[in-house]
Amino acid sequence: MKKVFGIALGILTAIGGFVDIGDLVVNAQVGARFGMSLGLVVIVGIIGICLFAEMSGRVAACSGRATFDLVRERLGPRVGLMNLIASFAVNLLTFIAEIGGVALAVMLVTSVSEVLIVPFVGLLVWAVLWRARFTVMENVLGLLGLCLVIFTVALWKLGPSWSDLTSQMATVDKPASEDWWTYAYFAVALFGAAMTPYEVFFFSSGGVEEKWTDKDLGTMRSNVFIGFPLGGVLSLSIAACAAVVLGPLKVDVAALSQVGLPVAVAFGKIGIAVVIVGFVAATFGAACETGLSAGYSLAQYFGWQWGKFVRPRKAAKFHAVLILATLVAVAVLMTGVDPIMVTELSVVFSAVALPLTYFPILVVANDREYMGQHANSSVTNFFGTIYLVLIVIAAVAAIPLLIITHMGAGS
Amino acid sequence: MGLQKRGACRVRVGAALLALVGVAGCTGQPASTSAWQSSSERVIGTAISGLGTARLVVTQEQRSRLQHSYAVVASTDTIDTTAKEVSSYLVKQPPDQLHDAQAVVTDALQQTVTLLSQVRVELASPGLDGPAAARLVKRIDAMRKALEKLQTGVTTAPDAVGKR
Repeated sequence: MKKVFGIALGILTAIGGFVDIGDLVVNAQVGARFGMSLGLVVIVGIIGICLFAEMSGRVAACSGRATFDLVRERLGPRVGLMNLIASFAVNLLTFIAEIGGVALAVMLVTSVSEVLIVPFVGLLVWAVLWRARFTVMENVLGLLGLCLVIFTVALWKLGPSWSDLTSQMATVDKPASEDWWTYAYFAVALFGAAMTPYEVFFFSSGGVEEKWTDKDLGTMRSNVFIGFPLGGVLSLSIAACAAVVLGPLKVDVAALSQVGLPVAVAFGKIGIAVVIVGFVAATFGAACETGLSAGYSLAQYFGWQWGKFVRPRKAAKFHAVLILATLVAVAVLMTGVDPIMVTELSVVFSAVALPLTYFPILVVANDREYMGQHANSSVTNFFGTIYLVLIVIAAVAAIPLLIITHMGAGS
Repeated sequence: MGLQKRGACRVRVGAALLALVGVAGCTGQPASTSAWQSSSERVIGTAISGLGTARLVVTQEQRSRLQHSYAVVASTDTIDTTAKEVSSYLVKQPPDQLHDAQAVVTDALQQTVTLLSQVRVELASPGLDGPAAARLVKRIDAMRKALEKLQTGVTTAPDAVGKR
């Protein structure tokens, strides 16, 4: 019974923790402008994140060591350093976006400018990273993040033409008013948002924090293969709600307040209250995950003591990185930079960094010295290779598309 | 000493030239017609988006389906986004033959920002009653229609925009 409860809790927190500010913003933008015509990209992204999260979770469970630790050992310091630089930079950018996202969500309730809220959010995030137990942090925020299920319920309540939404997904065609470059840009952004590198690092490092062994592989796989796809359903619901309510009014989503409006149409004030709790939990949870991932990546590469399972005094450098990352994030946001713009940049640069993040994981997961009998099967390698090709295409296309389309405004 | 003076003079002239090139680079070169069309179409699209959001907020607020603070923040966000786009559009130099068209687009955009700002003011205090909301929705719809017409004009026949 305890095991069933553990699995259920893991799945629920995986669903609630799947969506972050990047998913919220990009899915709503895409839904409002392109309907569900890019829905297949979300599905491809979710399969990809499941594939690589399972690999990195398996690496953590079988070796008892986290990804960066093994990447440096297996591929040498140079490749490890490239991996570190790319992942750390994207992580930090995502961390800034998530803290900005929390501030924007709080602003919806208080009407106070997000610039004034940011320092308090930074302090709170740091306090949680410093004091809260890993499982408490993960479970509480993951469960509260489930409030975003309201998008799925709202979609049902809005009563859209399901056949229309499905046919938009199946036909993969852009609206006449948009051009193909912009369509491709948002495809890359959606792919980057679904496959954000921090999710994998956090997942594998979390496995080490929770002392997974090969006996936990079943639980880990149920989290990944049930929790992540259901989290992906939330992403698709956000896009579909935007397509149904914002699309006909030609609304181009540029603020978090616009993302929640379809829920107001469906459920009124109660819906908005639930959605705001979901926004805060999703972005706060992701801020904690990205903040920890920044510390994990540096500490694992340089061989420092890391993690929340040891006292802060024993992992002083790890905690110093957390403090510095939080200060940098707060300082950047205090300049008045638009957190939504940071979010858009973070998902595009995630796409750029994907090959440097996922290729080493594929290599390590194939190494029988670490993995023993749990090394990748030929089927996993087949799909892993296909995904590497997709990832490289997205990475190469991301920056040119960003420039050509003026960040998705249109070429 | 003479050489030193001449060298300092060259540095000064070089710096002046560099500054001149910098200033010349900052002055607006007229955009091509297609670039103007594309940026006008984009900024009008942003204005239509802002009005769409405002319409949604007003109708939901009137039916008491939105928290007051949420409605105010959403309408403020809309003004921010639209005004930012409009202000960056205003500093662009149109092609010589499209000055009238630019004036018409600019005027419509400014009217949109004014309307969005009125929506926010009425939402914030004292709040919307039925007739006030209906009046605002009517104005928003009329403005949206005018902008959509303008957008079509800018795309299909920019020279004809502003010429009656």
